[in-house]
Amino acid sequence: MNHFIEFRDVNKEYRLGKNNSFLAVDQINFSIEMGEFVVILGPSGAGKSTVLNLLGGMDRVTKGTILIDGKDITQYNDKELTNYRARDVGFIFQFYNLIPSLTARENVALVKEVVGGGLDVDEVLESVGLKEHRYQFPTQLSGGEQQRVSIARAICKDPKLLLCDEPTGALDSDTGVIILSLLQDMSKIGGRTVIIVSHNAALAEAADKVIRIKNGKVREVIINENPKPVKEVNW
Amino acid sequence: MLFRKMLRDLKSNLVQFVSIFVMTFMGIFIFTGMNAVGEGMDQSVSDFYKETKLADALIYGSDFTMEEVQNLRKQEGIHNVERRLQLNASLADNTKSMIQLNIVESNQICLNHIVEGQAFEPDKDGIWLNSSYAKENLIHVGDTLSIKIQGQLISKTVQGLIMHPEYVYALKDENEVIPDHKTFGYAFLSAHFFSGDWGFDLSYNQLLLKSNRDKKSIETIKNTVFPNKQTILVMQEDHTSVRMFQNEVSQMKAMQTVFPIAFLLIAILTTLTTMTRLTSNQRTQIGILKSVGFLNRKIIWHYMSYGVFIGTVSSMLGLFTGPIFLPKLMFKFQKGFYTLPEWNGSLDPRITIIVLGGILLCGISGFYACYKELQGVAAQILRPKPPKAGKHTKLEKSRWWNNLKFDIQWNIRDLLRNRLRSVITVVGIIGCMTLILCAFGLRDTMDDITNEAYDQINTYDTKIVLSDSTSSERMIELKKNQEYQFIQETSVEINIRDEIVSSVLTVVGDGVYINHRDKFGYKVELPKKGLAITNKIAELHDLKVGNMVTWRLYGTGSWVTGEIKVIIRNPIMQGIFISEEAYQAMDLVLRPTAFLTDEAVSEFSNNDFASVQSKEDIVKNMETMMETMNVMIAILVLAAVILGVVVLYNLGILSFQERIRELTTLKVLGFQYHKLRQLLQMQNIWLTLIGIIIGVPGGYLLLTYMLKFMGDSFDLLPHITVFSYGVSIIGTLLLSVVVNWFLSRKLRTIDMVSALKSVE
Repeated sequence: MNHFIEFRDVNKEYRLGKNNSFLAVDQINFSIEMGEFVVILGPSGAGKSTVLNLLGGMDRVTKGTILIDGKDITQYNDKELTNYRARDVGFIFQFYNLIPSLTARENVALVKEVVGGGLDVDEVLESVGLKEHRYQFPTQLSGGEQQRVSIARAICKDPKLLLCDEPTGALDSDTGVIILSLLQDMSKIGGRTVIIVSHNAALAEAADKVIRIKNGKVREVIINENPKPVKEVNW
Repeated sequence: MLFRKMLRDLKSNLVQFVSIFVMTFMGIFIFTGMNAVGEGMDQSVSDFYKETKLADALIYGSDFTMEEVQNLRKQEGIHNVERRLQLNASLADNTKSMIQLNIVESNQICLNHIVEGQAFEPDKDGIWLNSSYAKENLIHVGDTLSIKIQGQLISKTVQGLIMHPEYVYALKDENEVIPDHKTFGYAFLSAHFFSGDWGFDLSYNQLLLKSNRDKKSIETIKNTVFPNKQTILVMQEDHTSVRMFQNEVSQMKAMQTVFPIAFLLIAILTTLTTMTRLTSNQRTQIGILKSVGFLNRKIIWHYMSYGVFIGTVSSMLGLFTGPIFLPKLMFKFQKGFYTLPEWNGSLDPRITIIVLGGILLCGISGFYACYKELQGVAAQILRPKPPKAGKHTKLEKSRWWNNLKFDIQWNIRDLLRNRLRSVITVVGIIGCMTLILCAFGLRDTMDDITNEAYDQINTYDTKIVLSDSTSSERMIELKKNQEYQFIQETSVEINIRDEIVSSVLTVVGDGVYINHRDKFGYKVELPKKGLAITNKIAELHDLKVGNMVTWRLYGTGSWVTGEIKVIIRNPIMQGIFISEEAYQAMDLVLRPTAFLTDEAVSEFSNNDFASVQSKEDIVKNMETMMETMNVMIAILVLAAVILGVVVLYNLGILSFQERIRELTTLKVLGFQYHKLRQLLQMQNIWLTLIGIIIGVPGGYLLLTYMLKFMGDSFDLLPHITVFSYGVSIIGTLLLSVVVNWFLSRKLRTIDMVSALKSVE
């Protein structure tokens, strides 16, 4: 059976010094289906961000295979990897990583520079509830609003995959819920594959699939038959 | 402990601090080096003047008697007077060269500096020849010279080789720019042994004076002692040799200030930006230092110490190397023009104050940078500073803003948000462009002298200087030749609004070898009535067409007045030009001192002439000098390139580090390498272009400024060829492109994972 995403015996080793190395990801295997809302859970330092980085083509594996839609991205060269990031992946970061000298709208329109097509910038901004603020600069927006710009930027190019690294880590819980619910909608309504890295176990209830990682290893994979909407989860 | 922290910080910001180091070093190196050149020349020449007791004033005239000398000595303020006879001669077997003989009576004023052989003494027989001439013509101490003076031959043994303070800058002819020691020399002989050879009494034509009075009072004294005699007073500072050298000194001193300014300015601005970034990166550390109880004073001193440390080390290095290497280099060039026994670099002690000031400014930059960060309590400083707010610039209100591509918008905003950084980059490029252009311009302008003076104005091939002994029969015979153009070149005093100015009068006979041009380069004829004056004199003394000019010949006659009809430009020779026709209209007769022809030098080996000079030799001399000048130009260009590279690279790194987070985001978002490179390079290219655009007039102005100090006898128009403009512009642009290429290689090293981790 072909999965949308498949990790096969993936290892990631960081060299720290001459005779010192650290195995961040240790023989990881898992798979994710198209349209799933997945949460990767684990304590800090467990290797979950590394998994996300490998998946997003920001980092290279030491050993193993990562298949996306049947293609092995570990075999890509720099240029192909860049194209993969540009076309197939939408990133959402803990600290938003918006360009401070561009307005909200320009930050979103930015991605159009690399990929043609995609969605209409203003419609996307409206869909994340930022129509009013689109001509403001990041520093003039609240954290939640900035993260929404970041989401708009990620979905604007209509990617197959949304990767979110602690998307609510820098937000208060009320705002966090709004953001997470927005991300869940991207999957449930938009039909996108959304993968969130978090250390907040409560999020497990809302996910289609939960992958628990500890010490670089997959501890368990839970498939949730009846995920709750984010707003109904007890935070 | 903090000193150790500083050393480690310096190491981790190596590029910035190395560039501050290089800039400060270059600034101090050139500054102190040029000061050592200027001061050294000043000191060396005044030592020479003092050693040889150079006369404070000279009186030219004829037949000075002993009574007149005694009379003059009695006058108040006159310390000493001595007679001398100066006349031109040539070697019996070499008419191409001229030797100016000085026949000395008592040798108390204007002494010789002995290079080789015996010291000159009035009771010793023999001849003392200047060493440069001897060297060029392979004459040695002990040789016997056969000299031809006004048709008479005398023989003397060379007793010594000398240098004389009146011949530091020694030209045979006003048409020359560079001394030619092969064809012009001078010699000293004792009057006691000379009169015997001569067969009759010497007619002394010069008086050397030692006096502390000014020109006006000596003039008055002169007029009371010589009520009925034609005499001319020349003060020491008006003597051509003295004046030219003084001009050179002030030119060196002018360069001392202009060049280092660019470097020191860049050094201070770079310190400011680097320290601002360092302190804002270390905001948390400042908070920690403050919270563990360091006094503000201590923290401020710590951050000042970066600039002070770098400034001190580099300034000291510059201070100790500049005054050693630059004089060596510059003196090599100066020795082509001037002859001095000693060339020593010397430093004005006040310079150290300026050096200290530079160090202090580097320190103050550090103070300014950390002072802002220190405001507030420790707890507040420990929290990260809010990022700089994005702002809508005024430009964005215009309609075309939205039509701009995002990368352009981004770069415009980035430039405006980092004004200081942008300004420094532009200043650096302006400096680089200005220096390169000025260096090439100097060369072009020098090339122009040769072209203008020897291809356009003076078109003869050979100039034959007549001697007093040229017989009248010979003159008549020469004058029959229609091809020869006769001229009379005489030193004159010009009276301009009661100020007496020494100059040269050239009366030009019929012929085709002198072609004048006005200051716009158009050909003009000498007027048939009235006179022409050169542009430099006209500008210096505010003379216009229609003004009257009064002059008299040195040694002879009465004052003559003429009207200025034309103003002409001559790059190397300033004075009055009159056509023979106009001269006759003033009831004066052209008495030829020389004639011009395009016949070869070899046609005139006959001994009847004082000297024969070929234009080819003069031009060849110019070319030799240009070769020395190429070294200077290369150094200027090298300095410019260092300035440009250091500024572009350093600020490029700064800009890269400030934008690394944004660039990483873009890389993660899938921007290809070439796109990121373009984004990063765009503003550097813009700033380079702005710098070049401002640098073009900058280079022209600097060239104009430098030419001002070339001296009164030069009238040089700043000229930069299209080729030079092209090379400077393309060179600067290329520099920017290459530096940017190196910078963009840094993009490859971006680690997407760690760069985005957290906000520091």
